[in-house]
Amino acid sequence: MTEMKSIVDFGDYFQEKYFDNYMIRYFQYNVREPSKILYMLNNEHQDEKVEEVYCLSKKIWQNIVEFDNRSNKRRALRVSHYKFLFESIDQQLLLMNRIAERETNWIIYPLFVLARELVKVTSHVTKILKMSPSYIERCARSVHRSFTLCLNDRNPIKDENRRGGVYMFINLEFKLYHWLENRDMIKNLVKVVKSRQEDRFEPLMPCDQSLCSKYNGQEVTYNYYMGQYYGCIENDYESAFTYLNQALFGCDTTYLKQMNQILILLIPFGLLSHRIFVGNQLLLQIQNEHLKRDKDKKESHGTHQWMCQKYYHSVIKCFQTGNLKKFDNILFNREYEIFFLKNGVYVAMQLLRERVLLRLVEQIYEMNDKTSILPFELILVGMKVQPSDDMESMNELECELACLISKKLIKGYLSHGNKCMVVSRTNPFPKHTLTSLK
Amino acid sequence: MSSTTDKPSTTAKEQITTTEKPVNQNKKTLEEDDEFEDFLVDQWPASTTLKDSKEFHTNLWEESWDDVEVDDNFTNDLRAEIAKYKQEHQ
Repeated sequence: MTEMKSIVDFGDYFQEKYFDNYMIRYFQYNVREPSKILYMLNNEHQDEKVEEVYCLSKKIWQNIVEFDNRSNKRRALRVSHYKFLFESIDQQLLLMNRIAERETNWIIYPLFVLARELVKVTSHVTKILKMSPSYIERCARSVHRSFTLCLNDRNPIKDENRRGGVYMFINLEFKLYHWLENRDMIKNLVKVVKSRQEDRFEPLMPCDQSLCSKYNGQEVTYNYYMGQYYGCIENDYESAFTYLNQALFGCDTTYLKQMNQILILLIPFGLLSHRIFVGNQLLLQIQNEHLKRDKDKKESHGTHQWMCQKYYHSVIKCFQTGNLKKFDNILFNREYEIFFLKNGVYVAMQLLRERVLLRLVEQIYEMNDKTSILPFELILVGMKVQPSDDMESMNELECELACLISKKLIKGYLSHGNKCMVVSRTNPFPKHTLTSLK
Repeated sequence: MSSTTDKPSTTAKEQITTTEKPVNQNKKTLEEDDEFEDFLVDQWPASTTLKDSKEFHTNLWEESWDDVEVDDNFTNDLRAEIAKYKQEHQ
Protein backbone atom coordinates (compact mmCIF):
# COMPACT_ATOMS: atom_id res chain seq x y z
CA MET A 1 0.00 0.00 0.00
CA THR A 2 1.41 3.36 -0.89
CA GLU A 3 1.56 6.03 1.73
CA MET A 4 -0.97 8.84 1.45
CA LYS A 5 0.44 12.08 0.14
CA SER A 6 -0.34 15.14 2.19
CA ILE A 7 -1.73 17.98 0.18
CA VAL A 8 -0.80 21.40 1.43
CA ASP A 9 -2.26 24.65 0.20
CA PHE A 10 0.56 27.16 0.50
CA GLY A 11 -1.89 30.08 0.42
CA ASP A 12 -3.66 28.89 3.56
CA TYR A 13 -0.77 29.93 5.75
CA PHE A 14 -1.05 33.53 4.66
CA GLN A 15 -4.79 33.62 4.91
CA GLU A 16 -4.98 31.99 8.30
CA LYS A 17 -1.70 33.47 9.57
CA TYR A 18 0.05 30.44 10.98
CA PHE A 19 2.88 28.09 10.05
CA ASP A 20 3.57 24.44 10.60
CA ASN A 21 6.33 21.93 9.77
CA TYR A 22 5.09 21.62 6.22
CA MET A 23 5.57 25.32 5.64
CA ILE A 24 9.04 25.21 7.18
CA ARG A 25 9.99 22.27 4.99
CA TYR A 26 8.72 24.18 1.99
CA PHE A 27 11.67 26.54 2.33
CA GLN A 28 14.22 23.90 3.30
CA TYR A 29 15.15 22.79 -0.15
CA ASN A 30 17.59 20.14 1.00
CA VAL A 31 15.12 18.27 3.21
CA ARG A 32 11.92 18.70 1.27
CA GLU A 33 10.07 15.46 0.64
CA PRO A 34 8.10 15.75 -2.60
CA SER A 35 7.08 12.10 -2.39
CA LYS A 36 5.21 12.76 0.81
CA ILE A 37 3.93 16.30 0.45
CA LEU A 38 2.21 17.92 -2.48
CA TYR A 39 2.24 21.69 -2.34
CA MET A 40 -0.36 23.59 -4.28
CA LEU A 41 -1.82 27.06 -4.41
CA ASN A 42 -5.48 27.85 -4.64
CA ASN A 43 -5.63 30.73 -7.06
CA GLU A 44 -8.68 32.45 -5.70
CA HIS A 45 -8.21 35.60 -3.64
CA GLN A 46 -4.50 35.12 -3.59
CA ASP A 47 -1.96 37.78 -3.07
CA GLU A 48 0.32 38.43 -6.03
CA LYS A 49 3.46 38.22 -3.99
CA VAL A 50 2.48 34.93 -2.38
CA GLU A 51 1.88 33.58 -5.86
CA GLU A 52 5.30 34.76 -6.97
CA VAL A 53 6.93 33.04 -4.00
CA TYR A 54 5.06 29.87 -4.88
CA CYS A 55 6.04 29.97 -8.55
CA LEU A 56 9.70 30.61 -7.71
CA SER A 57 9.65 27.67 -5.35
CA LYS A 58 8.31 25.42 -8.09
CA LYS A 59 11.09 26.51 -10.44
CA ILE A 60 13.74 26.03 -7.75
CA TRP A 61 12.50 22.57 -6.98
CA GLN A 62 12.41 21.61 -10.65
CA ASN A 63 15.97 22.80 -11.07
CA ILE A 64 17.13 20.80 -8.04
CA VAL A 65 15.55 17.61 -9.35
CA GLU A 66 17.10 18.11 -12.78
CA PHE A 67 20.49 18.82 -11.25
CA ASP A 68 20.33 15.75 -9.02
CA ASN A 69 19.52 13.55 -12.00
CA ARG A 70 22.54 14.69 -13.98
CA SER A 71 25.28 12.12 -13.79
CA ASN A 72 28.11 14.34 -14.92
CA LYS A 73 28.17 17.43 -12.74
CA ARG A 74 30.85 19.52 -14.37
CA ARG A 75 31.97 22.71 -12.69
CA ALA A 76 30.17 24.89 -15.24
CA LEU A 77 26.96 23.03 -14.50
CA ARG A 78 27.39 23.34 -10.75
CA VAL A 79 28.17 27.04 -11.08
CA SER A 80 25.07 27.75 -13.13
CA HIS A 81 22.90 25.64 -10.82
CA TYR A 82 24.03 27.39 -7.66
CA LYS A 83 23.88 30.80 -9.32
CA PHE A 84 20.28 30.04 -10.20
CA LEU A 85 19.58 28.88 -6.64
CA PHE A 86 21.11 32.03 -5.21
CA GLU A 87 19.19 34.38 -7.49
CA SER A 88 15.87 32.60 -6.98
CA ILE A 89 16.10 32.25 -3.21
CA ASP A 90 17.31 35.84 -2.91
CA GLN A 91 14.29 36.92 -4.95
CA GLN A 92 12.05 34.79 -2.74
CA LEU A 93 13.47 36.36 0.40
CA LEU A 94 12.91 39.80 -1.09
CA LEU A 95 9.25 38.96 -1.71
CA MET A 96 8.83 37.37 1.69
CA ASN A 97 10.34 40.47 3.30
CA ARG A 98 7.73 42.59 1.57
CA ILE A 99 4.97 40.22 2.65
CA ALA A 100 6.33 40.14 6.21
CA GLU A 101 6.18 43.92 6.48
CA ARG A 102 2.39 43.79 6.69
CA GLU A 103 2.21 40.53 8.66
CA THR A 104 2.39 39.90 12.40
CA ASN A 105 5.08 37.89 14.10
CA TRP A 106 3.74 34.48 12.98
CA ILE A 107 5.83 34.91 9.83
CA ILE A 108 9.19 35.40 11.58
CA TYR A 109 10.30 31.79 11.86
CA PRO A 110 9.43 30.80 8.25
CA LEU A 111 11.15 34.00 7.10
CA PHE A 112 14.20 33.09 9.16
CA VAL A 113 14.32 29.58 7.70
CA LEU A 114 14.24 31.02 4.19
CA ALA A 115 16.95 33.57 5.03
CA ARG A 116 19.10 30.77 6.46
CA GLU A 117 18.59 28.82 3.25
CA LEU A 118 20.00 31.77 1.32
CA VAL A 119 22.99 31.88 3.69
CA LYS A 120 23.60 28.17 3.06
CA VAL A 121 23.56 28.64 -0.70
CA THR A 122 25.85 31.67 -0.33
CA SER A 123 28.25 29.52 1.66
CA HIS A 124 28.33 26.92 -1.11
CA VAL A 125 28.74 29.53 -3.83
CA THR A 126 31.62 31.36 -2.16
CA LYS A 127 33.39 28.63 -0.22
CA ILE A 128 33.09 25.52 -2.36
CA LEU A 129 32.73 27.08 -5.79
CA LYS A 130 35.02 29.96 -4.73
CA MET A 131 32.93 32.59 -6.46
CA SER A 132 33.05 36.32 -5.75
CA PRO A 133 32.45 37.53 -2.16
CA SER A 134 29.92 39.97 -3.64
CA TYR A 135 27.39 37.16 -3.16
CA ILE A 136 27.98 37.41 0.59
CA GLU A 137 27.37 41.16 0.44
CA ARG A 138 24.14 40.70 -1.47
CA CYS A 139 22.99 38.00 0.92
CA ALA A 140 23.81 40.26 3.88
CA ARG A 141 21.74 43.07 2.37
CA SER A 142 18.68 40.82 2.01
CA VAL A 143 19.05 39.38 5.51
CA HIS A 144 19.49 42.88 6.89
CA ARG A 145 16.10 43.81 5.45
CA SER A 146 14.52 40.97 7.43
CA PHE A 147 16.38 42.23 10.50
CA THR A 148 15.12 45.80 10.06
CA LEU A 149 11.51 44.82 9.50
CA CYS A 150 11.67 43.07 12.88
CA LEU A 151 13.56 45.83 14.67
CA ASN A 152 11.38 48.68 13.43
CA ASP A 153 7.98 47.12 14.01
CA ARG A 154 5.87 49.70 15.82
CA ASN A 155 2.88 47.43 16.41
CA PRO A 156 1.74 48.24 19.98
CA ILE A 157 0.20 44.78 20.45
CA LYS A 158 3.01 42.84 22.11
CA ASP A 159 1.83 39.39 21.04
CA GLU A 160 1.92 40.41 17.42
CA ASN A 161 5.03 42.55 17.34
CA ARG A 162 7.88 41.23 15.20
CA ARG A 163 10.70 42.63 17.33
CA GLY A 164 11.25 39.29 19.05
CA GLY A 165 12.76 37.96 15.84
CA VAL A 166 15.64 40.43 15.79
CA TYR A 167 18.22 38.14 17.39
CA MET A 168 17.71 35.29 14.95
CA PHE A 169 18.59 37.50 12.00
CA ILE A 170 21.50 38.99 13.91
CA ASN A 171 22.96 35.49 14.10
CA LEU A 172 22.87 35.20 10.32
CA GLU A 173 24.40 38.64 9.94
CA PHE A 174 27.20 37.82 12.38
CA LYS A 175 28.02 34.77 10.32
CA LEU A 176 28.08 36.72 7.05
CA TYR A 177 30.21 39.54 8.47
CA HIS A 178 32.68 36.95 9.74
CA TRP A 179 32.95 35.57 6.23
CA LEU A 180 33.55 39.11 4.98
CA GLU A 181 36.04 39.59 7.82
CA ASN A 182 34.36 42.91 8.46
CA ARG A 183 34.68 43.86 12.12
CA ASP A 184 33.15 47.29 11.61
CA MET A 185 29.88 45.77 10.42
CA ILE A 186 29.83 43.52 13.51
CA LYS A 187 30.53 46.51 15.75
CA ASN A 188 27.76 48.54 14.14
CA LEU A 189 25.28 45.72 14.51
CA VAL A 190 26.05 45.31 18.22
CA LYS A 191 25.86 49.08 18.68
CA VAL A 192 22.42 49.32 17.06
CA VAL A 193 21.03 46.51 19.19
CA LYS A 194 22.54 47.90 22.36
CA SER A 195 21.09 51.36 21.78
CA ARG A 196 17.66 49.83 21.12
CA GLN A 197 17.87 47.75 24.28
CA GLU A 198 18.57 50.93 26.19
CA ASP A 199 15.77 52.89 24.55
CA ARG A 200 13.82 54.83 27.18
CA PHE A 201 10.39 54.43 25.67
CA GLU A 202 10.39 51.18 23.77
CA PRO A 203 13.34 49.09 24.95
CA LEU A 204 14.10 46.01 22.88
CA MET A 205 13.71 42.84 24.94
CA PRO A 206 16.91 40.90 25.75
CA CYS A 207 17.64 37.74 23.77
CA ASP A 208 16.36 35.32 26.41
CA GLN A 209 12.96 37.02 26.36
CA SER A 210 12.71 37.15 22.59
CA LEU A 211 11.65 34.46 20.15
CA CYS A 212 15.04 32.88 20.87
CA SER A 213 13.74 31.62 24.19
CA LYS A 214 11.65 29.22 22.12
CA TYR A 215 14.41 28.41 19.67
CA ASN A 216 17.16 27.88 22.19
CA GLY A 217 19.65 26.76 19.55
CA GLN A 218 19.53 30.31 18.27
CA GLU A 219 19.95 31.68 21.78
CA VAL A 220 23.15 29.66 22.24
CA THR A 221 24.40 30.86 18.86
CA TYR A 222 23.68 34.49 19.76
CA ASN A 223 25.45 34.15 23.10
CA TYR A 224 28.44 32.58 21.37
CA TYR A 225 28.76 35.39 18.83
CA MET A 226 28.34 38.07 21.50
CA GLY A 227 30.98 36.39 23.66
CA GLN A 228 33.29 36.23 20.69
CA TYR A 229 32.63 39.90 19.94
CA TYR A 230 33.40 41.09 23.47
CA GLY A 231 36.39 38.80 24.00
CA CYS A 232 38.09 38.87 20.61
CA ILE A 233 37.20 42.37 19.38
CA GLU A 234 36.55 44.54 22.44
CA ASN A 235 38.89 42.78 24.90
CA ASP A 236 36.08 42.95 27.46
CA TYR A 237 36.62 39.55 29.04
CA GLU A 238 34.05 39.99 31.79
CA SER A 239 31.16 40.44 29.33
CA ALA A 240 32.58 37.77 27.04
CA PHE A 241 32.68 35.35 29.93
CA THR A 242 29.03 35.98 30.84
CA TYR A 243 27.79 35.37 27.29
CA LEU A 244 29.93 32.31 26.65
CA ASN A 245 29.12 30.75 30.00
CA GLN A 246 25.43 31.08 29.17
CA ALA A 247 26.04 29.62 25.73
CA LEU A 248 27.83 26.61 27.16
CA PHE A 249 25.23 25.75 29.77
CA GLY A 250 22.37 26.24 27.31
CA CYS A 251 23.98 23.94 24.75
CA ASP A 252 22.51 20.52 24.05
CA THR A 253 25.10 17.97 25.15
CA THR A 254 24.89 16.04 21.88
CA TYR A 255 26.63 18.95 20.19
CA LEU A 256 30.16 18.23 21.35
CA LYS A 257 31.82 20.23 18.60
CA GLN A 258 29.93 23.39 19.50
CA MET A 259 30.63 22.86 23.20
CA ASN A 260 34.29 22.55 22.34
CA GLN A 261 34.16 25.71 20.23
CA ILE A 262 32.58 27.62 23.11
CA LEU A 263 35.21 26.33 25.52
CA ILE A 264 38.06 27.42 23.24
CA LEU A 265 37.05 31.02 24.02
CA LEU A 266 35.59 30.51 27.46
CA ILE A 267 38.68 28.99 29.07
CA PRO A 268 41.08 31.90 28.51
CA PHE A 269 38.36 34.50 29.16
CA GLY A 270 37.37 32.76 32.41
CA LEU A 271 40.98 32.74 33.56
CA LEU A 272 41.36 36.43 32.73
CA SER A 273 38.09 37.76 34.09
CA HIS A 274 37.48 35.62 37.14
CA ARG A 275 40.73 33.74 37.69
CA ILE A 276 38.83 30.48 37.54
CA PHE A 277 39.56 27.49 35.41
CA VAL A 278 37.65 24.66 33.86
CA GLY A 279 38.14 21.40 35.65
CA ASN A 280 39.90 18.79 33.58
CA GLN A 281 37.01 16.39 34.05
CA LEU A 282 34.60 18.07 31.64
CA LEU A 283 37.30 18.54 29.01
CA LEU A 284 38.28 14.89 29.22
CA GLN A 285 34.64 13.88 29.16
CA ILE A 286 34.03 15.83 25.96
CA GLN A 287 37.11 14.30 24.37
CA ASN A 288 36.27 10.73 25.39
CA GLU A 289 32.64 11.05 24.42
CA HIS A 290 33.71 12.36 21.06
CA LEU A 291 36.15 9.52 20.45
CA LYS A 292 33.46 7.05 21.44
CA ARG A 293 30.97 8.50 18.99
CA ASP A 294 33.58 8.55 16.24
CA LYS A 295 34.22 4.88 16.88
CA ASP A 296 30.51 4.08 16.83
CA LYS A 297 30.13 5.87 13.55
CA LYS A 298 33.34 4.24 12.31
CA GLU A 299 34.65 7.55 11.09
CA SER A 300 37.15 10.03 12.29
CA HIS A 301 36.77 13.79 12.19
CA GLY A 302 40.43 14.32 12.90
CA THR A 303 41.82 15.99 15.93
CA HIS A 304 40.24 19.42 15.55
CA GLN A 305 37.07 18.65 17.45
CA TRP A 306 38.63 18.06 20.80
CA MET A 307 41.45 20.51 20.46
CA CYS A 308 40.35 22.21 23.61
CA GLN A 309 41.72 19.52 25.88
CA LYS A 310 44.88 19.25 23.80
CA TYR A 311 45.71 22.95 23.79
CA TYR A 312 44.50 24.12 27.14
CA HIS A 313 45.54 21.25 29.37
CA SER A 314 49.08 22.56 29.82
CA VAL A 315 47.93 26.19 29.86
CA ILE A 316 45.66 25.48 32.83
CA LYS A 317 48.43 23.50 34.50
CA CYS A 318 50.84 26.44 34.16
CA PHE A 319 48.18 28.58 35.76
CA GLN A 320 47.80 26.34 38.72
CA THR A 321 51.51 26.02 39.36
CA GLY A 322 52.78 29.41 38.15
CA ASN A 323 55.16 27.75 35.73
CA LEU A 324 56.07 30.87 33.74
CA LYS A 325 58.86 29.31 31.75
CA LYS A 326 56.63 26.54 30.43
CA PHE A 327 53.91 29.05 29.64
CA ASP A 328 56.38 31.09 27.57
CA ASN A 329 57.33 27.93 25.70
CA ILE A 330 53.68 27.33 24.90
CA LEU A 331 53.29 30.87 23.57
CA PHE A 332 56.30 30.46 21.32
CA ASN A 333 55.27 27.06 20.00
CA ARG A 334 54.26 27.54 16.38
CA GLU A 335 51.37 25.08 16.41
CA TYR A 336 49.89 26.62 19.53
CA GLU A 337 50.48 30.12 18.22
CA ILE A 338 48.43 29.30 15.09
CA PHE A 339 45.68 27.78 17.18
CA PHE A 340 45.47 30.90 19.36
CA LEU A 341 45.56 33.23 16.33
CA LYS A 342 42.93 31.29 14.43
CA ASN A 343 40.54 31.38 17.33
CA GLY A 344 41.06 35.03 18.17
CA VAL A 345 42.50 34.40 21.63
CA TYR A 346 46.09 35.40 20.90
CA VAL A 347 45.81 38.74 22.70
CA ALA A 348 44.09 37.06 25.63
CA MET A 349 46.92 34.53 25.86
CA GLN A 350 49.49 37.33 25.92
CA LEU A 351 47.56 38.98 28.75
CA LEU A 352 47.39 35.68 30.59
CA ARG A 353 51.16 35.65 30.91
CA GLU A 354 51.09 38.20 33.73
CA ARG A 355 48.49 36.10 35.52
CA VAL A 356 50.87 33.15 35.46
CA LEU A 357 53.48 35.41 37.00
CA LEU A 358 50.90 36.42 39.60
CA ARG A 359 50.34 32.78 40.48
CA LEU A 360 54.10 32.25 40.73
CA VAL A 361 54.46 35.17 43.13
CA GLU A 362 51.56 33.82 45.15
CA GLN A 363 53.16 30.37 45.30
CA ILE A 364 56.47 31.86 46.43
CA TYR A 365 54.65 33.91 49.08
CA GLU A 366 52.99 30.78 50.43
CA MET A 367 56.20 28.74 50.38
CA ASN A 368 57.96 31.58 52.16
CA ASP A 369 55.62 31.09 55.16
CA LYS A 370 53.40 33.98 54.05
CA THR A 371 55.93 36.57 55.12
CA SER A 372 54.69 39.96 53.95
CA ILE A 373 58.08 41.11 52.71
CA LEU A 374 59.06 39.51 49.43
CA PRO A 375 62.55 40.44 48.24
CA PHE A 376 62.83 40.76 44.45
CA GLU A 377 65.78 38.43 44.68
CA LEU A 378 63.57 35.69 46.11
CA ILE A 379 61.04 36.04 43.31
CA LEU A 380 63.87 35.91 40.77
CA VAL A 381 65.11 32.71 42.41
CA GLY A 382 61.64 31.30 41.84
CA MET A 383 61.65 32.41 38.24
CA LYS A 384 64.98 30.76 37.59
CA VAL A 385 63.85 27.34 38.79
CA GLN A 386 63.82 26.17 35.23
CA PRO A 387 66.67 28.18 33.81
CA SER A 388 66.43 29.97 30.51
CA ASP A 389 68.78 32.05 28.38
CA ASP A 390 66.76 35.19 28.64
CA MET A 391 66.69 35.63 32.40
CA GLU A 392 64.58 38.46 33.54
CA SER A 393 66.36 41.29 35.20
CA MET A 394 65.35 42.78 38.50
CA ASN A 395 64.12 45.94 36.76
CA GLU A 396 61.89 43.99 34.46
CA LEU A 397 60.45 42.09 37.38
CA GLU A 398 59.82 45.33 39.26
CA CYS A 399 57.84 46.69 36.30
CA GLU A 400 55.77 43.54 36.02
CA LEU A 401 55.01 43.58 39.76
CA ALA A 402 54.01 47.25 39.52
CA CYS A 403 51.54 46.28 36.78
CA LEU A 404 50.02 43.58 38.95
CA ILE A 405 49.65 46.00 41.87
CA SER A 406 48.11 48.72 39.68
CA LYS A 407 45.57 46.22 38.39
CA LYS A 408 44.70 45.41 42.00
CA LEU A 409 45.74 41.79 41.52
CA ILE A 410 48.21 42.16 44.38
CA LYS A 411 47.55 44.27 47.45
CA GLY A 412 50.88 45.77 48.38
CA TYR A 413 53.62 48.20 47.42
CA LEU A 414 57.12 48.14 46.02
CA SER A 415 60.20 49.41 47.75
CA HIS A 416 62.72 50.31 45.09
CA GLY A 417 65.39 51.18 47.66
CA ASN A 418 65.09 47.94 49.59
CA LYS A 419 64.46 45.95 46.41
CA CYS A 420 61.44 44.20 47.74
CA MET A 421 57.66 44.02 47.59
CA VAL A 422 55.60 44.37 50.74
CA VAL A 423 52.21 42.70 50.54
CA SER A 424 49.14 43.28 52.66
CA ARG A 425 48.66 41.04 55.69
CA THR A 426 45.02 40.51 54.79
CA ASN A 427 44.14 38.92 51.48
CA PRO A 428 47.24 39.97 49.54
CA PHE A 429 46.09 38.13 46.39
CA PRO A 430 42.41 39.06 46.07
CA LYS A 431 40.26 36.92 43.83
CA HIS A 432 37.04 37.87 42.15
CA THR A 433 34.28 35.92 43.74
CA LEU A 434 31.90 33.96 41.62
CA THR A 435 28.21 34.40 41.96
CA SER A 436 25.69 32.13 40.35
CA LEU A 437 27.65 31.16 37.30
CA LYS A 438 25.47 28.25 36.48
CA MET B 1 83.74 22.87 -13.39
CA SER B 2 80.12 23.28 -14.37
CA SER B 3 79.12 20.31 -12.24
CA THR B 4 80.64 21.89 -9.15
CA THR B 5 78.83 25.13 -9.74
CA ASP B 6 75.59 23.33 -10.44
CA LYS B 7 75.62 21.36 -7.25
CA PRO B 8 75.32 24.11 -4.71
CA SER B 9 72.55 25.72 -6.72
CA THR B 10 70.44 22.56 -6.59
CA THR B 11 70.97 22.15 -2.88
CA ALA B 12 69.99 25.74 -2.42
CA LYS B 13 66.84 25.03 -4.39
CA GLU B 14 66.10 22.03 -2.23
CA GLN B 15 66.63 24.10 0.84
CA ILE B 16 64.14 26.65 -0.36
CA THR B 17 61.52 24.03 -1.06
CA THR B 18 62.01 22.35 2.30
CA THR B 19 61.72 25.63 4.15
CA GLU B 20 58.70 26.69 2.12
CA LYS B 21 56.72 23.60 2.86
CA PRO B 22 55.92 24.15 6.53
CA VAL B 23 55.07 27.80 5.84
CA ASN B 24 52.45 26.74 3.27
CA GLN B 25 51.04 24.16 5.62
CA ASN B 26 50.68 26.72 8.35
CA LYS B 27 48.99 29.11 5.98
CA LYS B 28 46.51 26.43 5.13
CA THR B 29 45.65 25.77 8.76
CA LEU B 30 45.19 29.48 9.37
CA GLU B 31 42.70 29.74 6.55
CA GLU B 32 40.85 26.61 7.57
CA ASP B 33 37.24 27.16 8.45
CA ASP B 34 36.60 27.43 12.14
CA GLU B 35 33.32 29.31 12.29
CA PHE B 36 30.71 28.36 14.85
CA GLU B 37 28.95 25.34 13.46
CA ASP B 38 25.19 25.47 12.93
CA PHE B 39 23.02 23.28 15.10
CA LEU B 40 20.99 20.68 13.23
CA VAL B 41 17.84 21.74 15.06
CA ASP B 42 16.69 25.06 16.51
CA GLN B 43 14.94 23.67 19.55
CA TRP B 44 15.78 21.20 22.30
CA PRO B 45 14.25 20.47 25.69
CA ALA B 46 15.87 22.00 28.77
CA SER B 47 16.62 18.51 30.06
CA THR B 48 19.23 17.90 27.33
CA THR B 49 21.23 21.06 28.02
CA LEU B 50 24.51 20.99 29.86
CA LYS B 51 22.84 22.93 32.66
CA ASP B 52 20.49 20.04 33.45
CA SER B 53 22.76 17.26 32.30
CA LYS B 54 23.18 14.28 34.55
CA GLU B 55 25.86 12.47 32.58
CA PHE B 56 28.21 15.41 32.12
CA HIS B 57 30.38 16.91 34.77
CA THR B 58 28.68 20.26 35.28
CA ASN B 59 30.64 21.57 38.20
CA LEU B 60 32.68 23.32 35.61
CA TRP B 61 34.46 26.11 37.33
CA GLU B 62 37.12 25.51 39.89
CA GLU B 63 38.29 28.37 42.00
CA SER B 64 40.52 26.58 44.40
CA TRP B 65 44.17 27.09 43.68
CA ASP B 66 45.31 25.07 46.64
CA ASP B 67 44.72 21.55 45.41
CA VAL B 68 47.66 21.65 43.02
CA GLU B 69 49.27 18.25 42.84
CA VAL B 70 52.23 18.23 45.17
CA ASP B 71 54.16 15.77 43.03
CA ASP B 72 54.28 18.27 40.18
CA ASN B 73 57.94 18.61 39.20
CA PHE B 74 57.86 22.34 38.92
CA THR B 75 56.19 22.86 42.31
CA ASN B 76 58.69 20.55 43.97
CA ASP B 77 61.67 22.31 42.37
CA LEU B 78 60.24 25.68 43.34
CA ARG B 79 59.72 24.61 46.92
CA ALA B 80 63.30 23.30 47.10
CA GLU B 81 64.72 26.54 45.70
CA ILE B 82 62.74 28.70 48.11
CA ALA B 83 63.82 26.52 51.04
CA LYS B 84 67.44 26.86 49.92
CA TYR B 85 67.12 30.64 49.67
CA LYS B 86 65.55 30.82 53.11
CA GLN B 87 68.37 28.80 54.65
CA GLU B 88 71.02 31.01 53.03
CA HIS B 89 69.37 34.20 54.24
CA GLN B 90 68.59 33.30 57.79
